[in-house]
Amino acid sequence: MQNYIINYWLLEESLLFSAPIRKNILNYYSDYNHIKWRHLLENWKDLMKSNVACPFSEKELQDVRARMVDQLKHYTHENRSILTPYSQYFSNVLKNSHPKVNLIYAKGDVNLLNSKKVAIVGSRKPTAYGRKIAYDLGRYLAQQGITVVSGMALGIDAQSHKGALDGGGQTIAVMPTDIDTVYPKTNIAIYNRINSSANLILSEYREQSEPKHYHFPLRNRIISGISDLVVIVEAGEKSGTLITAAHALDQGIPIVSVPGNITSELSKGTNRLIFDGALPLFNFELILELLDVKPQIHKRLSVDLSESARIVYEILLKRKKMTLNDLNFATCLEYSEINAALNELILEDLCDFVSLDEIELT
Amino acid sequence: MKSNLRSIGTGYEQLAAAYLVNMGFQMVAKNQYTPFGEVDIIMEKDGALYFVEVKYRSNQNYGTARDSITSLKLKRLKKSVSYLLKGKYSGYNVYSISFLGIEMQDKELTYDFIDNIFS
Amino acid sequence: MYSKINTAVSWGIEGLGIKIETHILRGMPNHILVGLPSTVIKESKERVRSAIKSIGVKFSDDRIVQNLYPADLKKEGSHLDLPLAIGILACTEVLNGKSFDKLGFIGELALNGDIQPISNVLSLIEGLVSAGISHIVMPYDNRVESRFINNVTIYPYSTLQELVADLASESLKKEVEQEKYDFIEFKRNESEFENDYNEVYGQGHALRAMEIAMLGRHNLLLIGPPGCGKSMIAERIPSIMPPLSINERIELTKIYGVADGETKGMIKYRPFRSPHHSISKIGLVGGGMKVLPGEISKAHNGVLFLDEIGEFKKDAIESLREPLSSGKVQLSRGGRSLEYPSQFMLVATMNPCPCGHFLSKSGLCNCKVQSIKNYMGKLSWPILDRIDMTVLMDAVDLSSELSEGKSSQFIFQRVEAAGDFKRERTSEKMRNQGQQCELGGEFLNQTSIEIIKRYEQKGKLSMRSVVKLVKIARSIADLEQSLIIEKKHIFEAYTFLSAQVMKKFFI
Repeated sequence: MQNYIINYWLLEESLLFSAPIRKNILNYYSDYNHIKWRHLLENWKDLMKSNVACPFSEKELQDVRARMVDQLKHYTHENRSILTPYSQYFSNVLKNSHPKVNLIYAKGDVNLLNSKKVAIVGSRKPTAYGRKIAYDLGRYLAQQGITVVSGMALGIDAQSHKGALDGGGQTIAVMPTDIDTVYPKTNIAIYNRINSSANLILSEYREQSEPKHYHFPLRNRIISGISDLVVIVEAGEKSGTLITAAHALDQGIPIVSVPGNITSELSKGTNRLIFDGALPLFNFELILELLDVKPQIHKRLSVDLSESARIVYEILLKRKKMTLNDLNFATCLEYSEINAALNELILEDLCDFVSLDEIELT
Repeated sequence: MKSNLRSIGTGYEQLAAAYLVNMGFQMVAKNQYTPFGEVDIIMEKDGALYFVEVKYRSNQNYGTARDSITSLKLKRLKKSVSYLLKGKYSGYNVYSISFLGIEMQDKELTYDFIDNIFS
Repeated sequence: MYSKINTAVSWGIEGLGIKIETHILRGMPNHILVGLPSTVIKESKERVRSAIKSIGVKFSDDRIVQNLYPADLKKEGSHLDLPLAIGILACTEVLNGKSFDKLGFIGELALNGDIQPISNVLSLIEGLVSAGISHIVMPYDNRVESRFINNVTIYPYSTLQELVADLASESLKKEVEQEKYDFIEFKRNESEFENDYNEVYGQGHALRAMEIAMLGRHNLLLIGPPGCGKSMIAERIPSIMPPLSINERIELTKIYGVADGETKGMIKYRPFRSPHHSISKIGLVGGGMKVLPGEISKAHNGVLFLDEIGEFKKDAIESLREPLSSGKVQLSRGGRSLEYPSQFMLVATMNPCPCGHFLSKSGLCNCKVQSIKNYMGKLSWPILDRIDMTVLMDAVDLSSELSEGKSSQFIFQRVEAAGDFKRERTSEKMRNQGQQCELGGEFLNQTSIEIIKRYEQKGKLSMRSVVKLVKIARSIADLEQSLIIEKKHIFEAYTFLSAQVMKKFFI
């Protein structure tokens, strides 16, 4: 494993070979893992089919290699790790995506890659509708224990991350830069919330403070590649979001598209996707169905409830639907406490009024 | 009966005339009839003409003599006076509509003269 | 012969000192009143004449002219009988030559010469005092009210005859001093209230809301299907209303003195007015020819209960906007512009839809969505905005177990104790303790602020609603005698916040 990473770094980043030479070497050894440097130096001229001698001495190579091993520590200490195609977290879809994904730098809980994941992507300048759907969907999925994947761009991406975090769930951000650089800067608040042991930040790049324009479409293939489902919330007719859809199509990941107003510029892309065969997202439960996940009746209590709220909640869990009067009798709490408890539960979306004085679990 | 009342009235109108003459008025006419009613006594003093309505009350069971002057009576009196001023007495520039009440109090006659009742 | 008498007329709930000039000229008997007297005052000529005759004084059969100064002010009230009579008598040999510069007179006369009680003594006395007259002759039966005003010498008389005799001999009889303030403390008497909250079964949350509203004087809207007990709860409000302070009683007595001639003597209880829904705009806010106070002013410092508020005339309800926010009402008509206080607490009830069963467990409602909207639309947003609290009630399921409501006595005492706490809290000393927050200087702790921010983020609260929420929460905290508004107070307050209830169910 270590070999793979170091060989990759040596070949692709440090030794400054030209592209045809790199291609030649990789073709010969078939994989980074199998590159034999000593063998390469000895048989340089044969392998390259040229008379030019190798630009490195063996001594130099050893030096560089030693430095690389040193650097490796930096990328794997604490909660950081580097994923290679040999890693158990590297899905088949990712391995087979095109262009090939060779290395992924990760920060956070890599186990998330083994959970159920749904990507939510969309326009960077969404409408209020798109913004709301992204937030609500992110939150809903988080509450159902599904990991939300997105690209931490402005707009839909940011909203879906935020929804997932607000819902008390986990989320994966795939960066167009390296894992330590916040891009765009305005998302620093969300980055800081994601940047914890519970969540995961991924990137293909080692040191890349400013993303290149071609990094965005490349990043998208990772987003779709690690997800079980891709939801397109809003996209114009010729937008980067549709590239994600194209990647997903290539990788065989199911696409769900949020239908929109046909006059809305930002729904033209999503509506077109539906026409082309993507599933329309007519309600949030559809996603659970597609992932074959049973909806959770008992939501995860991500918050600390007060004493009275807990009592009320427990009784509600048993009886499902109760009037204020019943609650008063069943809990022996004062009405003042019942009202306070109910609003606490309603704020956490655990229950709500269904008639003038009846409360039901949501 | 009617003629009897009339004679009582005439009697007190004479009393009234005597009282006024005593106060320095000069008699001009008595019982001047007009289409609107009657003016009891007309007197003159310092070039001014006085049209006097005389009222007699033998007792106060039904109010004083003053009280008997109703607004309707005043209206008629005004009309009569202006009729007379236009015709017979057009020579006078200064005039006054006055009231003289004669009441019997404790078997004595009292006189109540109001110089100008429209003041 | 000429005389000048001091008296007063009411101008709104304030009194205004006026003078009555009397001149008797030789001429045909005639009694002329000038200076814009109202019909009531014109009629007083006959009362004055009879009263003077009945005490054995000859009524002048000369020409009497009486002028009410200032002449351009329209004057109302039968209490001018006495000063008019004294004015005439002062011009005759009975009281001739006496000076009444220092005295003020108010009172209505009966035909037999009795001095009758009048309805708005307090404002009239204040009017005279403000005109610099502190010796006042007034009806004997009104002496009770006069004790509430300091620094005046009162001469109560029950007949004109006595008064004239004492005026002639210059030996007016003063009010006995030690009676002052004897009975002002008003004790709550349980048996005085017909109904009690312990007769209400179930609906505990509505009772709780009532308790909060009563303490904070929040306007309250009860929504529920017919027969769920809205009116029953509202009708029991008088049994938990805190007693009136002396100043409140004076103010109310002044308003009632102007509003209806019926009320004589001091107002004892906090008013609870429940006009029928056929009431007109003028009946509700006041006005009309005489620019009299309406129901909202009669409910000043008390409760205005509008049962079935949706059935009231639209213009009548809308006219409550300004009084609800400013606590007073400015009425103008025919050159008269008067201001009446109207700090009432509005309690209203209505059904959730035309048939009354929308959102009810019974599920009987078959109203169209549009007709429900139209029905709720009878209450405009500006009005709803001014109603802090809304309580949703549903008919009680008789098969379920029900607990008896708390007794009125219990609620009353809790509200009283909380009221004391609130007064103490608002005093300057307490203000300096504890941390304060940007929201109206209330004591919010960090968790409560976070909860409010969460509601704001959810888009469920406008800034105005936040202020109301904190207001309600403040009352709840006061009920628990807690200086700090805690999380649970905010949560409970949110239940009753009108804006959220309306948004959630009806819009």
